[in-house]
Amino acid sequence: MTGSSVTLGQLLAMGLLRDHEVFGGSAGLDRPVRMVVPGGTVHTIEDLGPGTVVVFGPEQLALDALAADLAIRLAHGAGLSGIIAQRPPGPVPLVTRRLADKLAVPLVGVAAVATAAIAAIFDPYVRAPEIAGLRMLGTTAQRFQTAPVDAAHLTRTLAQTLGGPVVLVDGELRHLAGADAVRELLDRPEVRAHLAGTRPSPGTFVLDDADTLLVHPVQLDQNGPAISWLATRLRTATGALLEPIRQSMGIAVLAYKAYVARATAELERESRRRSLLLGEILDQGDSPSARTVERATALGWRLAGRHTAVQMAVKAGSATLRAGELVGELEERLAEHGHPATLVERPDGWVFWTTVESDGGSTALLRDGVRSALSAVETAHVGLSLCAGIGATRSGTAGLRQSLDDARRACLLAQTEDRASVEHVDAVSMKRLLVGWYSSSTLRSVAAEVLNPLVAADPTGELVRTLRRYLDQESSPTETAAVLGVHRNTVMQRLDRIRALLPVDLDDPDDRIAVHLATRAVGVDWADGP
Amino acid sequence: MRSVGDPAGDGIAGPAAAEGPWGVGVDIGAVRTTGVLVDGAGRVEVCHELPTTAGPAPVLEQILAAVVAPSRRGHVARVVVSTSALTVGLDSPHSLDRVAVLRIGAPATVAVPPLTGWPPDLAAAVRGPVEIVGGGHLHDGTPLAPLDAAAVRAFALRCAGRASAVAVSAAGGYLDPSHEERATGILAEVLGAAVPVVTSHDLGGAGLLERENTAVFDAALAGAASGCTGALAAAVSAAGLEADLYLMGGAGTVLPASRVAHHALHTVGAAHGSARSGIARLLGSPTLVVVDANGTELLVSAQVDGLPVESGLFTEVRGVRTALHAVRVLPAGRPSGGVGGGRWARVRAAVHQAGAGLGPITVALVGPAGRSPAGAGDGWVRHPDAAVAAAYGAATGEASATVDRLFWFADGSREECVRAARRAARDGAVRAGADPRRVRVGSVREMMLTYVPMPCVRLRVTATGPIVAPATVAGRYR
Repeated sequence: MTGSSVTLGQLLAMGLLRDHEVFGGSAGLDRPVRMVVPGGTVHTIEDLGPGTVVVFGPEQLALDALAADLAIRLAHGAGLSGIIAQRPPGPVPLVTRRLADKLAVPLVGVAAVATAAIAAIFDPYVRAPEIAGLRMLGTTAQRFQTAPVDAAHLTRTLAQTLGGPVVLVDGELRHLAGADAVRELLDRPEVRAHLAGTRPSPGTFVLDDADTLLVHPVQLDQNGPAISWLATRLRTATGALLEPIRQSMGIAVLAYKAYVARATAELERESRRRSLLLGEILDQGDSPSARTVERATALGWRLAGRHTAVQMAVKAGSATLRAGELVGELEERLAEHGHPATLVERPDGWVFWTTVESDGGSTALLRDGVRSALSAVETAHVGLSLCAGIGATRSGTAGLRQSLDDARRACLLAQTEDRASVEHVDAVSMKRLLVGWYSSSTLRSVAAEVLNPLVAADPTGELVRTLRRYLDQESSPTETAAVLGVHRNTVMQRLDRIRALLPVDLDDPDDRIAVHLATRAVGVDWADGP
Repeated sequence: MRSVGDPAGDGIAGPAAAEGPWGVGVDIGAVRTTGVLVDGAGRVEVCHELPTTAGPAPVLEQILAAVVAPSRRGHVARVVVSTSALTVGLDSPHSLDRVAVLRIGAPATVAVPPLTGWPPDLAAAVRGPVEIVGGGHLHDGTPLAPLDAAAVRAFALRCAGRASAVAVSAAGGYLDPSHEERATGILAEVLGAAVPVVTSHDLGGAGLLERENTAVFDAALAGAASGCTGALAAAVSAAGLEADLYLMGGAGTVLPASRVAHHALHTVGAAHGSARSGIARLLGSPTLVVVDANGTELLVSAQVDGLPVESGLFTEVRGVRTALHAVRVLPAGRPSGGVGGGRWARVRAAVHQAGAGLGPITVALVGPAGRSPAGAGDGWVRHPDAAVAAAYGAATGEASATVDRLFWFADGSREECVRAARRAARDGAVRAGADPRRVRVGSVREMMLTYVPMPCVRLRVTATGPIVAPATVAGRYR
């Protein structure tokens, strides 16, 4: 069977014959059809060429009479591709159906047969099968002139046009819209291998029962990855309709891309509006203009009250996730975990804030909610890593600005950690930074090393204590003497001795800092000193 | 198990063996059963023989298992069985079904009611409700009277529960089957599908009484015949074959099993018929005389150009005339044992009589080895496969149909009548299962009827053709 002819099965699937029934011989529905002709008497069958489908009126052939058997046998002998006749008032005898099955001659009954009309309906598609394909392409182009309103609309419309189930999946083969049954076909090894290939391209796969699976990628950038895949399943042998169906899918993909681009542009516009507005609010400080307040209120933002800001950033991105989609998902997950918010884009991440009337409430709830939301988004996208920082709770617009700053710093800290981390600004005090450092055994051993000469020379530790106070007081001997309660000259003498003993140069800023830290690492005791 | 196309004897055919779907022929005799597997070109691939120790269906299953290797099952398109199991009821009338007889011919034909002239025990065994209703056609095709549908319906209601089958015959039914068909429709509607209705309109060339008698016999045997064909078909499925089942007839041709259920008389004489056509094909000689030693008695008959020589009489069952043309079969004494001039003379006389008027002709012997009459004449041929000639005849059997009726060319021409006859014969052969592309229509035999005032002619023509294969099997040879 060449690719340039239609089969009776395809002709029937086009829906041109209202209310038809195949009584037998369905195994022969995939034979090519050369022409469809009205028949005369049963004997004229023998004069017809192979590949013909003959149409009989009710006076010429009654499917519930003996003549039907003769017609089927003669049709088999002549190599016909099918018999169309009037559906009889009673049932078609089992013997006749069995004979049609045995000889694989399709026997189609139609409610009302006007032989010439039926032959004329099918004729163009049979003589030039490309016409059937063109009809389908024309319908597709017409229906997709306007972009679909959403993914479900896309799959529904395309399924109607192609006459088969359609599914849309995202870059990781998760179902977005359409038929689940087709989505399951994508799990086959050869299909998965094709979808995971480096350069996405349309693909065709033959299934076990002679059905065909077609896949088509949706790429926003021609050389980029596929953000989505469109797939459909064709029944019966393909042939002339394969290319038109593939092209129809291409048209649908174009329309879908237009929809995606429009949705993305809208999101970005909205996002920019919000960023600008937030910038205005922060600039205007405690006395925002009436118009600003109006616009903020329209967005649901509260400027009075106690604000707790949260900033989120991406540590490591995912190839298939676009920025616009990420924001949407984050907002969804935050809402799921109890913190509905609209994210505003900032130079180094996205922010939102919660506002309460009065004091009280711990930030633990907020932190857990944010952490859960981030984890949820991360597990949905392989390779994605997020972090967040939470600012201190402060009042008013000025407080909002401060809280946002806190949140940014906390987010910076969170970026340096390994797991999905959410840091609160309280943890960002310098002391906290240093605790981790101090507790490092490497530092302590280096510190001991550096200060060893001093300890060896003065086991009482007086020299170390003097050096530490000296550096604490920013290298002022007078202040040091005051704090230690000794004479200034004593301090100078001790420093001379220290300089002689230490291998480092206290005039070098880097060395000085290192020694300073070393003095604090050794025998850390928060209790003494300011 | 000996194999002709299988020199290595390992059951695998050589490279040139398969050209088209294969067929299996089985001859179930009273004592022994033989089976052969032939390839698409008619060459014997495998043959096998076993004693008939059980009923036809179990024996068929055994033979199929022996003859068809599992790897070849998908290539067998037909199984043709020659058996007399469908007509055993004729020997024991008490086993026949009760038959309701409907004759459509009033106001004519009432002088000789149905079952006239039947032996009393036979008539008593089969007689059920009998009725002659108005309808039928005259010898020129015009209706005698309109079909009395009400009477048919009343008769049908009378039959319910009182007959196991119905035989329907109409005067002139072979000219115009419409009355028989309508009556069949009414009977089927009232009695349902469980009661077989046998018609006689496809038995041309004979009078109403002969056709009616044949329909009554067929109806009386229909129950047993359906059971038998069903069991045989089940045996074919059980053997794992997708093949169609056919049964052999007395003329050496086949009928599909579904048709044979309603026309059991067709299988009378099948054993000898398939032996004759089988040996003719084995020898490649469509004209010959056959001496058949398969049964308890030697039988001699002749075949010319593939068609059996007929006796000109109708087959009779217990003296009752049927519509089936009898093949001229001459009994010639016991097959085996003994010498003696008397025996030989009888055989040779029969052979001489059978071949009378045919010129120098081949004489072929069939039968089990060692059974051929000693001292057979010079030039009498014994083919190496003669022991399985009957099974071979079944395996290579063809479907055929004969048209034998009056044609009126008052308003047409004689050529048109001939054309119509040939077409009707072709259609009949196709309906019997022949492949429309390979049907051969024989010569048309013509008998002028000078004693009839209108111009008409009696034409007789037979069409024959090899059986068509089911699409699933044929598809493996595309």
